[in-house]
Amino acid sequence: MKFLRSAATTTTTTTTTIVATLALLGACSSSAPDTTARITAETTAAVAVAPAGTKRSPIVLLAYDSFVLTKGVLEGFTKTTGIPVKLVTQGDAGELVNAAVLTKGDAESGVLWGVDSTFLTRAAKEDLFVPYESSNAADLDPTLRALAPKNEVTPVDRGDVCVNFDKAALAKAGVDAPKTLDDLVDPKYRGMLVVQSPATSSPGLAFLLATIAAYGEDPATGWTSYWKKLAANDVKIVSGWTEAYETWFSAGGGKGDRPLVVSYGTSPAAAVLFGPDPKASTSPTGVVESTCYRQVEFAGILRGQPDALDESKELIDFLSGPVVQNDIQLNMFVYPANTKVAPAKEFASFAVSPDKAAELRPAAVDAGREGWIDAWTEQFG
Amino acid sequence: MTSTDPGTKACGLQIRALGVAFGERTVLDDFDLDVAPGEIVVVMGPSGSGKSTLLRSIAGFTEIRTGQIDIDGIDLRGVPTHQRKLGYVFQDLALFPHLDVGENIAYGLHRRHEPSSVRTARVAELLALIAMSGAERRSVTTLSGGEQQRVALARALAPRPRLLLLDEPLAALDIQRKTELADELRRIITTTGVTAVHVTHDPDEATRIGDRTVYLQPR
Amino acid sequence: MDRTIRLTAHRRLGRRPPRATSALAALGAAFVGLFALYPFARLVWRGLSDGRGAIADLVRSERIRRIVWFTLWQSAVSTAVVIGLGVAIAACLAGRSFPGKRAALALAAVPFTLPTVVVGTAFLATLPSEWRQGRVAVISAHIFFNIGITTRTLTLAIERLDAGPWEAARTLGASPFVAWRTVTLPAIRGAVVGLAGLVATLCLTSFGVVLLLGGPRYATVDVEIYRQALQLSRIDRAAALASMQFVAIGGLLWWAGRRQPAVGATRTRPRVVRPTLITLCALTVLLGMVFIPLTALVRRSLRQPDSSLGFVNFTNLTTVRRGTGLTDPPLRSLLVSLQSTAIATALAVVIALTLVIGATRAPRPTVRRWCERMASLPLAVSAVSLGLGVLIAFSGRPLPWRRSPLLLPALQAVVCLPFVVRTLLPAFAQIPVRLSDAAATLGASPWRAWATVDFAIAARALALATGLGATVALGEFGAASLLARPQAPTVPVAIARLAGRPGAVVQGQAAALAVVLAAAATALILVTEQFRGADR
Repeated sequence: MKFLRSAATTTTTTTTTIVATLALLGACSSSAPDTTARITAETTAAVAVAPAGTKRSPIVLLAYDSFVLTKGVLEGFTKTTGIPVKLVTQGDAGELVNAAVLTKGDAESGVLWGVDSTFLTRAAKEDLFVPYESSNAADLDPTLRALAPKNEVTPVDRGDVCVNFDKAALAKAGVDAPKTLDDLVDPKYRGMLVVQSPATSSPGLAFLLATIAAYGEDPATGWTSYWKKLAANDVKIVSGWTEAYETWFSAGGGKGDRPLVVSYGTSPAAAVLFGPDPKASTSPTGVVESTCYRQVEFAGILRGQPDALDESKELIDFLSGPVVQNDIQLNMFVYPANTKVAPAKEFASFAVSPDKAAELRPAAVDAGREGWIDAWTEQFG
Repeated sequence: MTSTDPGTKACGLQIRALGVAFGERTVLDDFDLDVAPGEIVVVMGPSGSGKSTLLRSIAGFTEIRTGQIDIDGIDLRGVPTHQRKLGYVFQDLALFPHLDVGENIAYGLHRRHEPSSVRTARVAELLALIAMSGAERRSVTTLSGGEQQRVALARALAPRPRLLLLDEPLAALDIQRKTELADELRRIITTTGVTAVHVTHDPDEATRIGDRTVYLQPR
Repeated sequence: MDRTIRLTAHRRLGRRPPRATSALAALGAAFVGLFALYPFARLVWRGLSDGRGAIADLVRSERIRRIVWFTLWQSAVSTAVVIGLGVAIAACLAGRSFPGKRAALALAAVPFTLPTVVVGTAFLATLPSEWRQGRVAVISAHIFFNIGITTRTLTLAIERLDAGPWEAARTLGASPFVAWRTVTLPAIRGAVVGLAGLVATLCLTSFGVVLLLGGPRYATVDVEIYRQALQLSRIDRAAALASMQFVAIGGLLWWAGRRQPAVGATRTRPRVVRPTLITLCALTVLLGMVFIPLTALVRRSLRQPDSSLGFVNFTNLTTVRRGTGLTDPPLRSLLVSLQSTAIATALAVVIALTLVIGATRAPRPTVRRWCERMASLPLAVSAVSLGLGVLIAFSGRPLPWRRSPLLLPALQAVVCLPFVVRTLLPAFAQIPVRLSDAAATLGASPWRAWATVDFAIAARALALATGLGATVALGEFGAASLLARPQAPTVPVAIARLAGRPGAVVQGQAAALAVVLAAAATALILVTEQFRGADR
């Protein structure tokens, strides 16, 4: 099943795939020893030991598989607070939340990192989390906080799913980069786009949501008619991000023949950092800004461990605080939710996060997701 | 015992200088045997004397090293088992467990592409001969030892073989049943008039069944 | 021979303390109930209590119909090809002895012990890119997975037959082919039907292979169960699908089980034939089907991240890559797997013995039949349903075992139980009653007679079953993927995590780890084969 999360379903989260991107690009660049050294570095240690003399309950930090912090960050938390933290990772964001729902009340749970905006309503309905207002609340992006007004969860990062393009391949084909979703159905770009199935992939779902946000649900003019045009323009549909980016995208590891791919707003930064020249001043890939769909991730305190409530609250404060917020950027290629933390300079140079990315209300996504996916699969799957 | 089966043409068997060996071990060496048409010859000998090997050589299951086996003057070498037109009753009987009594007896008739009416008639005829009339649909696994024995004989006789080979078919029976069945066996064989080679290590069985007995020495 | 066995079972009754036999069998059944039926029931109950009209949804959905159809279709095609080829190849190999035959047959069965992830990875490395995903890929992977074990089982089944009926048919005018068709084939029909049921079941519940090779278009019921439960939060639909699958597969196994003849039939005299050119061709086809994908996998593991050939991927197994979800070097998973496999195998053999005793010695025929069925039952609960059920059943009260290190071995024991029982049952059923009688007359109590006679005679089968159980547990993926403690993944789970990440270094690690697992499985099979020796 892990396979599904990673290979086929891929990653509901920005993070998973971005990390994947860097691994991919890094590995392809044998000429970049520092890059290799970087990805060879030990992952964060799982268990931290409390200093002697303190009596704090140990807690679990539950996250998706690709959750990565620099070594020492979690240990730092334990050192200052005396709270031992065990990091437990499980699947992608979708599986993480749904498994948490299935195992509700499990005694060992503590804090969950990685419920995203599309699963927020589901989690709220199940009353999965203990509401808590982070001590950093004032610093957190108010538009993100607005998604969880009752503080049942705390926003921790954001990112965007956007169409990426291969600059060199487009130039060779003699066409400009597309500017809008409408451009993608232009015969100029025929046979150039590869996307993921929303039924099995989370960036695929985000892209479907972007088209729904843009075109609405009217049968004649809505997203289905747009997708019909996309299909007529020979869009390639694959099951997951890995296959799309690694096998079919012309700037990916597989050197495919499709110069347009659904990926992330930060992918161009990863393409540089883990490309042949990490000091390059331009990225080989670019982002079609108007196609971006916003994904926000939250952390919350799982119900079921009342004796460690204070410890869990302290961990939420830590996760939304400056140390972690800064650390996640280049580890998981997401933007911090904490506005006091400056975005990484690599993001400023290469990545894109539009001020106004497409976004549907979490409740609307929760209500519509299943029907949309079914309708999409019937027609295009 | 009054008349022989009109469909059976009795054939003669001639074995000349037969030699069989398994690797280094010689089992039969320079063995001669003549069986006249319609004659019942019993081959006797202790275990390991090559009795079974003799029958398996005639049937074509065992490759012969030297010599020649003829039926009615025709050399059997190169003729595959299924074209030799023999009847063989095995020591362990080897009834087909997935077929009923009638189907077991009709098996050889099927292989000769006899039409269904002929098969039915022939099966009934043979069941009458072995005193088991009406047993067509019985399962062979429900038969007694003696019944299985007679069905195996009927199955071998059904396609009217040129030669009947019997490999200690009575070995598994108790003494009383053995005596009864040996007599019965002789009656049935002589009724059909088929030439037969019967292998046993029991002298009493030999005298009850055979017209003539030959002895094999262990090697 | 049949009769002897049946009589054996009946006649033993007076001699064995019946209550103790039933109690033992109940113990085994309780284990299966607790770790297979109970989680499954909890899943179904959870789905029902959701009350969202899942069944009506499923019936209406065109997509579900398509998935069900594809599931049945691919399973039917895969089974037909596997059984057809398996019977043909077994016919060419059976009875013909040549050097290395046993090793070749044993090696051909290696793919069966490989986790689906490895099979998928091997096929991605083998197939041309236009066939890498879709129906052809799924079916060829299923053939690869099952052909070796099918051929080997059938070959051994044919070789176990008495030569008598075949020779009788020959003397009655049947050519070798006709004799084969009219005598040998009917005699192995039970084995063929049983295998067909098993292969069909494995294809029906196929998850990893379809996930990896099905592409966006083709999904099986298991993949859909997973998606409904863990992606769409529709546990009710997942439960409805799982129940449907349980009923269908349970029915299939029941049918296949009923068609199998009672065990027994010790052969008296095997038929031995000289190998011919056809034997060689059959062997080549069999080994080709098995080894081409395996070779591709090995080649992949030797292709280093910089595209040269070498062992860097293997040495890389001792280092950690970030972002893979693994906190320890991948090779450490081998230690986890070996521990888990050892516990699981021990559990499975003990439970299997209780069920086998029940199936052969219990006083009431009903109890005996139920013992056999309980042993096959875990096959009907697919890995995904089991995993989901376990998440629900063992979280919180009354059985908060989800994080227990013993839960995974227990589930793996349940998963390999059917295979262990299938190996043990014939061996125990064949032991003649006279032997225990003899022991009894010499003063052995019933239990002592069992231990010193039956158990001692079946020791070889026990070793064989232990080996088979261990290989199945070693490659178990479904339950492990949902339950492996994240810090301590088993080898198949570690392979899946690595293979799911892009990047030449990580992909190379995945291939190398897959080769390590395949090598471990092969070694285990070859060792196990030593015990088949006198059995043959």
